[in-house]
Amino acid sequence: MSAAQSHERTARVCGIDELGPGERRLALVANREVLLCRSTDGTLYAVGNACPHQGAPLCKGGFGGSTVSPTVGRYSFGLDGEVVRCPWHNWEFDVKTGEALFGEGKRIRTYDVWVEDDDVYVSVGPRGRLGRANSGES
Amino acid sequence: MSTKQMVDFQADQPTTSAIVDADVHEMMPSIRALLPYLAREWHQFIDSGWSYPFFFSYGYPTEAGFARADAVPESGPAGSDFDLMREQLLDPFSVEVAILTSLFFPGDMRVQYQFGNALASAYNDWITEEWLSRDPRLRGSVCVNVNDPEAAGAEIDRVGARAGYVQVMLGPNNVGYGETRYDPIFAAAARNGLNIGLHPSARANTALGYPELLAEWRTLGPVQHLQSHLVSIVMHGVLERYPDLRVTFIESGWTWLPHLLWRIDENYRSLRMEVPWLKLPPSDYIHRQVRFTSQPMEMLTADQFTSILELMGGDHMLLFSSDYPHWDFDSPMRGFPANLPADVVRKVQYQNAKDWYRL
Repeated sequence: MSAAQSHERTARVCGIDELGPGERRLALVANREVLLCRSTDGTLYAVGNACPHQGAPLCKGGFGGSTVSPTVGRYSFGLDGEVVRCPWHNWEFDVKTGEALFGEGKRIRTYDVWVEDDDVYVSVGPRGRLGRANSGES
Repeated sequence: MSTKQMVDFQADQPTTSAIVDADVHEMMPSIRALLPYLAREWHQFIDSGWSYPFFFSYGYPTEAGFARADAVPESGPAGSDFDLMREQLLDPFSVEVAILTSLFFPGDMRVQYQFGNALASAYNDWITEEWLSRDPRLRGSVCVNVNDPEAAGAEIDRVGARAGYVQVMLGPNNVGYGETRYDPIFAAAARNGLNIGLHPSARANTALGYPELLAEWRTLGPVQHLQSHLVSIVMHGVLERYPDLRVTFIESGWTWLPHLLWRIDENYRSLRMEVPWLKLPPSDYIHRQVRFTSQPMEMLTADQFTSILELMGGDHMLLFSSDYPHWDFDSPMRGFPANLPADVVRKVQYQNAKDWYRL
């Protein structure tokens, strides 16, 4: 997993064809570790790589979906390509919002990510500054 | 201790104008009391000399077994004489409501399910006739055979609408009550607007089964057993499925709850994917839908008492219980630490139960 090195708050992370649906990769943007995730429907998300619990690197845990429940006692699979799971205590986070699936207001950082000319950019500046939040559109 | 010292000591104790006692044991003079309420085909199961089994091997080196030695009437076992109960509990302690919890769990038999179902029904008819009609201060708990959950649900429907019942009583069980097979019981309780109560019996074993000594069992058995059911009910989503259901853990301790709340939430954070039906942290369900009765109280200082209540989630979590007529009875006057704030005493000994049981 290569990390783009940059001190700029906005950086090109990779080409869009280098990150397939369901894949994720670690990037370094302005010295912050950012986990770039592409859901199964192709949407890009960028989140902080540190678990808010004890700081474990989320890039070492899973990325995919998880169990959801339509009714008490029943399992189904959902949130496909939208969940990162911490390698230490299995805390799960929704990359769309950064929020822990168990709630309690625990969350990971989320960052702006967009595609320009088939290149994927991430900004660790204030969210929404570029008006392109969480979009695969260029 | 001289009489004067005792009086002075008592003067320091919290008092209250009226109390609700959430754990009072009415007892049958003998199992034969149920014969008038049992269909003829079951009489021969009892006429042979069978008695309700306790499955309890420990010798009881106490003054009067599990009874308060001064509460055993000449006519039968402790708790079998209403007049004595009135004289020793209801009148002197200004009991506004006493919730009868029996100590009869046909599920403890583990066998002969139809006989167990018949015993449960007979017991409900017996307390309706012999107890609930006798004094307006008494409320009842629906007896069910947990080995046959469908029949238990039907029994709850049969008697649930009768005046005076406030809860369905579940005894010990070596399968967690959260498991789906027990859903007919919770569904029926919810349908009938009844609370659920869980109470230990001699079948409440520890994580090691039955330890060698009675002193070990009494320290661990009821606590570990009912802790297991609390975690089962919460994790399996019973309280999510029935958000208005109220569950009371009776005579199984309460000072351990802060630890369990932290631990159950910690495990939910890591294992949410196994219990995705929970929409709240487990402790939120417990705060919303579970209460605990006070007896048997450990000897706490007032500071310890109020601190633990705070860690449990607040002074709404605890309901006074005496466990009359058993030997580990807690007096509402003397069983609580001196110098508790009056509003805490009032809530624990009266108002919490009034609200919880909709009295």
